[in-house]
Amino acid sequence: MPGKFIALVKKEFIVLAKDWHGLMVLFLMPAAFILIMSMAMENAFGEHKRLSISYTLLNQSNTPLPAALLEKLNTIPGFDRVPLPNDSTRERVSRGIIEGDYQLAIIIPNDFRQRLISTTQGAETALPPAAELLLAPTVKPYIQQIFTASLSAILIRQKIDWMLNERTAPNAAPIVPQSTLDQLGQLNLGATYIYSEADVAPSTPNAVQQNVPAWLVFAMFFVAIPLSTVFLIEKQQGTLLRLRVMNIEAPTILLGKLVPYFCVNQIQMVVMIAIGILIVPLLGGQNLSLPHSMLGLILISSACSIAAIGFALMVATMVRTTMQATTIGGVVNIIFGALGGIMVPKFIMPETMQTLTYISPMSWGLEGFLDLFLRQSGWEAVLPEVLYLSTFGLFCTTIAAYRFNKAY
Amino acid sequence: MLYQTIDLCKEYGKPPLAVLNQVNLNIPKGSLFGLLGPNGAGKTTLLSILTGITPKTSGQVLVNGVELEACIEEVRATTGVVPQDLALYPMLTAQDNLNFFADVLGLKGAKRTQNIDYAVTTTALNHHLNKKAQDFSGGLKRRLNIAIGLLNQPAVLFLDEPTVGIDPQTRRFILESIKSLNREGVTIIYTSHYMDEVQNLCNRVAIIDRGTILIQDEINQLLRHQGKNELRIHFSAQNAEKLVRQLPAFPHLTVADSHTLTVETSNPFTVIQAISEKLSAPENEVEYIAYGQQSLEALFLSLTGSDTRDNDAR
Repeated sequence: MPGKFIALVKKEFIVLAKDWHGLMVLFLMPAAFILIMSMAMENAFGEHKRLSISYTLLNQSNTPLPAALLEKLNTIPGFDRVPLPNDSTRERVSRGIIEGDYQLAIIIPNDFRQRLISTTQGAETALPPAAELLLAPTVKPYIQQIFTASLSAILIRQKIDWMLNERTAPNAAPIVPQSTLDQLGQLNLGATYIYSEADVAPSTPNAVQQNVPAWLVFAMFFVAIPLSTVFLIEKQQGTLLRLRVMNIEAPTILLGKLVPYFCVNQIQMVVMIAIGILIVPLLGGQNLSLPHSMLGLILISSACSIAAIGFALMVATMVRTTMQATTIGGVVNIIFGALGGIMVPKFIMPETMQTLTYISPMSWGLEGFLDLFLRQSGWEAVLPEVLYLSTFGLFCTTIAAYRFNKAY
Repeated sequence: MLYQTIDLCKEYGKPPLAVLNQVNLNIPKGSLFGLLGPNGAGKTTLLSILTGITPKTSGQVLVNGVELEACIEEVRATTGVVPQDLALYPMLTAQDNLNFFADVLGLKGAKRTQNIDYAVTTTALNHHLNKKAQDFSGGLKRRLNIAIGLLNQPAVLFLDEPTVGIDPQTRRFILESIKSLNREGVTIIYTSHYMDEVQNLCNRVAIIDRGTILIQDEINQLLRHQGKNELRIHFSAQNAEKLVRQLPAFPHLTVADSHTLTVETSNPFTVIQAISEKLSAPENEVEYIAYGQQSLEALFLSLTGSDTRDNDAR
């Protein structure tokens, strides 16, 4: 029997190799998705770590702004100042926001100095606004808050300078030294991401770390289409019948299909990870951090493959035509993908949808890969996903074996 | 007797539908046995049971006097099956196909080489081994299909309509190869819808319809005892239909095909005399007139009726 099994596996490899167009699709499709989605989602994933918002400043006051104030405005972290032409007006600045030239604008009024140093005996809200902020509707509230906080700190520094230092004698030392003023509004707060493994170096999630595992899992399940189609063609052509007459048992035939496609899945994994490490950075994306646990990677990849091939075999034994195999295999895969956080990352889904993702085996596979790629967890962390995927794969294979044995 | 079935029955589905009903078949060793029947007669089911693919519902299948179930492994090892479908891998070359099926059969070493050579030589595939099967003509595909069935140098070869959709030259080659195999001692069990093919090829025949064996015997005996004498008039143009409407009403006058009229009669001269005026018309150019024993096709139609069969009760 091992000889016959080896013959089946060898034949399947030869058939796969000869159908190199079909084989290439299994690699090009996820590769294309990884490249496109990693580039397209770069900002969405990297937002919290590299803010880059453009703003402009319109000075309508009758006096030039102090150099120190301008310098401080130019160095608000994450915000890039776009210079304006000399004859700019408030309307022109508004149009610039609408046309997307910048997202924020600070309007300095003509009586800026009076407004800034004015004081009232009443409520704080009675103070006239020292400056006006114009915002594009796309500016998220937290961006506005970051900018307002930074701007307030700069203006307070200027306010103190004007209120206190300019009342001293011309040649007297300032009440508040320049160095002290420069430190106003500067308050350092430490920030650290917390990961499940304290001993692992922190690594922040990026688009490529989401997309490589996501489209890898999708591609693995995508073998359902070629596998089930080939299986049905063999059934229709009578080759499976011929094998039966030659004393080949049904489980041997199923196993003969499983092994080559398992190898295809593992090669997919290596190629997709290589794309994440080597190609995506060349195109301007961030590179993929290899998982801390290679054992975990092997475990989750194998389990994912077993689930994908089991599902493919089940489809193959449940449909009657290649058209049905292609359609059902394709549609179910897309639904699995949509539900499983492949097409839309799970973390941006509403809570109900996030719960729903658990019904998709692709979600289990993706979570396992994310444990390794994003959270840099150890192999133990992927064991639940490995268990779910293996159980699903064996369940599907059992159904396939039962149906095939009955019809074979 | 090599193969013998006794009261063999096969039912499918619920409520049970009888596909084979009390089939008693005898296939002698070394025979070239034709199994004939209209679509849905039960031929494929019968072949499936004989090759151990489909289990029977009741009755017995004996191979050399032993129940098939008891010796299925040995029977499969010495049996070749050539299904009607092209049961091969189109993406693979002919050589890869043969190598794969030889491996599946467990052939090794010199025996493997010898058996592949035998299959290739018998089907004259020598010059086509390195071409992909998908690039083959219909005839070459059929030959490769047969070659795979010969890989274990079978003592018994099942051929299910092996000449469907091929040109006359390939058909002739395949039929000659089958005769040659039979001369070497291989028992052939052959199904076809081409009656002339079966009549020329087989030495023994069984006709099955609606799951029952209607008749089985040596072909010569069958035609001698069951067949009637008939007059065949063959026209060069497709005039048979038109002419039959102009002729006086004869009993057993039938249109065999668009070129041919047949009249079942023991007195051909009376018939010819009666229709000679019509036959001599210039538009009815007669190619030949023959008289003799009824063909297998006529016997088949007389036994199974001339209605078309839409249901294939496999």
